[in-house]
Amino acid sequence: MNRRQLFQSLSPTKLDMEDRSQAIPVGGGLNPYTGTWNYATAAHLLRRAMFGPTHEQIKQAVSDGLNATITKLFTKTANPSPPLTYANNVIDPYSALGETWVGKRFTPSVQGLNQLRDNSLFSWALQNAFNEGVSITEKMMLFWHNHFVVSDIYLANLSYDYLSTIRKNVLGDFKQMAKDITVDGAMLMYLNGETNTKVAPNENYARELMELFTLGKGELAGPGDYTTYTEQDILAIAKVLTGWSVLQNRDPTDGSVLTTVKFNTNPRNGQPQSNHDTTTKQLSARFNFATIANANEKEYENLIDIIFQKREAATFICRKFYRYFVYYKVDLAIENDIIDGLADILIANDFKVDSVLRKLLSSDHFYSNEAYGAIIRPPYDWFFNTVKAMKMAKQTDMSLVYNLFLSAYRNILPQSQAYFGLPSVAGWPAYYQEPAYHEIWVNSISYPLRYTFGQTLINKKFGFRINGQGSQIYGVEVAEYAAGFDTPGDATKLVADIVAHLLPQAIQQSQLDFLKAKLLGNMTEAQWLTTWNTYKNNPSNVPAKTAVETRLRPFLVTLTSMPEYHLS
Amino acid sequence: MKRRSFLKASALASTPLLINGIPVNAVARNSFLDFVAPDNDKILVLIQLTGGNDGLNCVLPLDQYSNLDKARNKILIKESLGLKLIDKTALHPAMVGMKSLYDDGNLNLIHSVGYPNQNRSHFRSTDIWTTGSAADKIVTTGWLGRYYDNHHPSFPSGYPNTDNPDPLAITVGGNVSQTCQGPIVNFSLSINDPVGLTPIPEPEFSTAIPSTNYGNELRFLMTTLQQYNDYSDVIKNANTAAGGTIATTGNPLLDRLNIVSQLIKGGLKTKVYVVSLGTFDTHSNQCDPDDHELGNQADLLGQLAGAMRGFQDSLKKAGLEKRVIGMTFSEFGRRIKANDSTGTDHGTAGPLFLFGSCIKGGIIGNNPTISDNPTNDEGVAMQYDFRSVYASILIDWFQLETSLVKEILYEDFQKLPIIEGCITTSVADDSKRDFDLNLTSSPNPADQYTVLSFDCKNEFVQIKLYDSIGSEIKTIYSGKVASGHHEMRLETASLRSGNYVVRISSQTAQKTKLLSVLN
Repeated sequence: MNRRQLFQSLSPTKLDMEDRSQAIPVGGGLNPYTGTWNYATAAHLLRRAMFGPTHEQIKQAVSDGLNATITKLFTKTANPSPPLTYANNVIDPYSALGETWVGKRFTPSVQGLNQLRDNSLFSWALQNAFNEGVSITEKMMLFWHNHFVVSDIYLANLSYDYLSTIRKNVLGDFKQMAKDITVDGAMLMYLNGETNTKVAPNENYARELMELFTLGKGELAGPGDYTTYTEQDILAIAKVLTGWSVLQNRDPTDGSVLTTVKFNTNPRNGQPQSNHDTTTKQLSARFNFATIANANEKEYENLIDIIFQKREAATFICRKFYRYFVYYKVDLAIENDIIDGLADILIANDFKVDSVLRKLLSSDHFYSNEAYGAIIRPPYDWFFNTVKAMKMAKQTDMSLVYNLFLSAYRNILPQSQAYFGLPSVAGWPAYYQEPAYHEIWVNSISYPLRYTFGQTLINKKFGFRINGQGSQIYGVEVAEYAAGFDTPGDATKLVADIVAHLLPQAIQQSQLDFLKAKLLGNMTEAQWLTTWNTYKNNPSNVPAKTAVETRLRPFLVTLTSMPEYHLS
Repeated sequence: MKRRSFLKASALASTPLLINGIPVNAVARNSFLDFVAPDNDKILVLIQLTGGNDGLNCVLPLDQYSNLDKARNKILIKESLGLKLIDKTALHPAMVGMKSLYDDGNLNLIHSVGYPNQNRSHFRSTDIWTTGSAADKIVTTGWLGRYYDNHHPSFPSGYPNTDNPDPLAITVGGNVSQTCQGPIVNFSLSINDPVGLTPIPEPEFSTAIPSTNYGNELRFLMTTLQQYNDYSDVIKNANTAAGGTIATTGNPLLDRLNIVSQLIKGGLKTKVYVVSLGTFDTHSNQCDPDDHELGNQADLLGQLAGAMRGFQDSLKKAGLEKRVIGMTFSEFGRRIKANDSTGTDHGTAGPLFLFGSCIKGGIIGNNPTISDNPTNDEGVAMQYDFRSVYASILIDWFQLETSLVKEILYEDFQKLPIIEGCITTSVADDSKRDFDLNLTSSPNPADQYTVLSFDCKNEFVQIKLYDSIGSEIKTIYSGKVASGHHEMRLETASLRSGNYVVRISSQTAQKTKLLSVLN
């Protein structure tokens, strides 16, 4: 049913049964896509699977073909080198300027130190995405961050370790990741696992483990029975997970700490303390009355193994993959023909997630015409599509790079997306909140923010101050960006090529004309050609470069303020 | 045709925009028929307490302290520190501003508001509260969204217009509110700062929007951009009219409410404002382990009370206090027993506050009953269904016809006496009763059976049995009963030992009774 037709439905009870959008047609389902492989299909794949593909990367993908591009996306990349101490306005006693602070003792008494390390980590997370080539890795890092949520714990060392825990299996074993994350220090802090003891179990993690991390909550089938698990299971599982703590190993001389995850240990003094509930835990009928006998620090692994015997552990995560990479709408046909098939593959591959992601991204369904441009770009996607796709220059000065991306982090934050700044343990509402889903990203606060930040980046007026160095100005290299296309001197062709690069579907002739008029300003097409050639023949000549930038900028500002630019 | 005038025209009756051959303005309905008073200029401010507020440390049931002390002595507020509303009931010591509102007769406390079959997931339970639906029904429209949808079925097409120049609803800070989600669009506009609103130049819009998901999202984005541009002027003007600058106070909730009062003063006809405060999800460190009256929840409750008081004062100063009421809500209360992390886990019902000069000051309901042996998972039993509060607001504040309110909330709910003295149109107050339902249960604790007794007039009653986590076990009776005293036997032999709640409800009253079963 068409959205607008819905306006005419007047009975409130009827409205609840109505859909505001259609699911993507199943098409050939998960069968490999065998249709045309061209710029549009390659761009669709790269836009969804990575951050901000460049024109050159898309062209390469066209010539490589679908299979080779998938292989490239899933090729394991080197782990990024750990984040660095990038400023010395706060002196870190254990990490000098330019050294990493990861694994180093932390001195809480140094004011501003944790903020410095946190800032370094936030900036680093964005740098990793910016510096990445054709790879799905960073997009999956963000996926897992939104899945196994840890937010606002303000403990940089633990936050870094948490990202490492995710990275270990970022394209790999979901079951192992669920085990690792259960006793991850940051997660123990975030969902109170570190205070969950046999005396009075804290069930926070147990509940979210079922509801948000593994099985999902089914329909209410009876008192306290959510189909996939029950309230009784939450109580039992909270007991299984008792006994873990985050030990602050304190140096008495300078008060510095090194945090470690410990089992059955008093977190204050490091002495043994029996916090673990050693009774046998009884699960409900939803787990075939399975029992979990005491196994101390190995017990959580047995628990995760039991949970992952349930098919929902596969269907639940596959639905989330689908919503992240394809479209939010999952109807019965998608459930049966796509999700179910993916779940089979995931189970058959022992929960190695790359198996299902490769399948999904090369499936006939993924390349259905209806899939192009149907999702609203999340803020990070929007940002990288601006700075990576349009070629913001890579800086080499370490401190400058950290400040640059920290400033970017802070500029995107008011659009409601930030590493370690998720609104709740359920992640960003755009991925779960019915019925609006991804529309939640864009509202009358965030649309103008995107407009002004985009304008700043394109006009190269993205400024920030570094202590002692005055203000710095950065942004997109629009001339170099245009030079990457085949015939930039041809105004009509350049507009069409950039539209094909940056927008997910074709636009109307009147819109193309409008954009071309923005490019030309008062120039004729011949004058643009001359201006471009002058620049091309001498790219380092400042007035020649300025002349093309002066025309490219209003054109790109207009293009990026179009509603179409927010779609992917 | 200029792109802008195209979109405007498409929304007006002169040039119906055809989509799939159906004109989008084909909606003809005189929605004002549903109003008792079409010129109603009343405003509702919702304050969402996200995360689940611990009601037992927020409203202290002083007559339950010996049992509470056993259940939660690691977090319990000292009895002597409570801000007493009445003999047996006090507010958390941080809630000074709300205590003074109560003393002025401008605060109403409703005890133990919730719903049957409490869902303890933040997300599901928030959905239930914001959609105004039953726990077993998945509804995706907000309760206020349905109200708006009824009166503005073609929104956003053609909005703003002469009759509706202002945003219908505004969320201050963050995302648009789920309470205002309609079947197609959200009726609320989100703003952060009315001063910084600058229109965005509108690019060439697509005029051939395909009827695909891509097309749907494109239209959504076009509308968002246009509405932002259209409403940003309106909001900026209102802000300027009300004096322009808004000083920050250090209390983030008060800062948001100051924006709300500024816009009301500036003359916006917006009927609903939504703000939120959180997180109340105090699984750990709910309070200082040494001074229980301090800590995270205390800070939040202090902000809440201070903001409420400040907001009310500012409205009063501007002479607008009779146009505005406020209501708090939170997805659930927390457990009776504390956990070992100086915190509490997800529970069941909790207190709800209404404030404003038109609010009938006082307390509705009784202190929750705390048994001497609450189970680990036991929450506070529900006394009032949250939809009773919604119904009362829609009928007595927005002056909607009862029949329409039933459409919006799907069922009839008991109306509560919360509005007083400001509505001139006569709305029958059917909530007045000259007697109580007087529900009792004996023997209690019960083993084989208990006898329930109650008084009623000639009316429909429902009697239901809930377990300690708020799940409905069964309907004991549902039907019409004659006026007078009644007794009913409830077999308890097949029930597991534990605490249960019996709840009787009629159109105009309800009562809950804690029942222990030992067998």
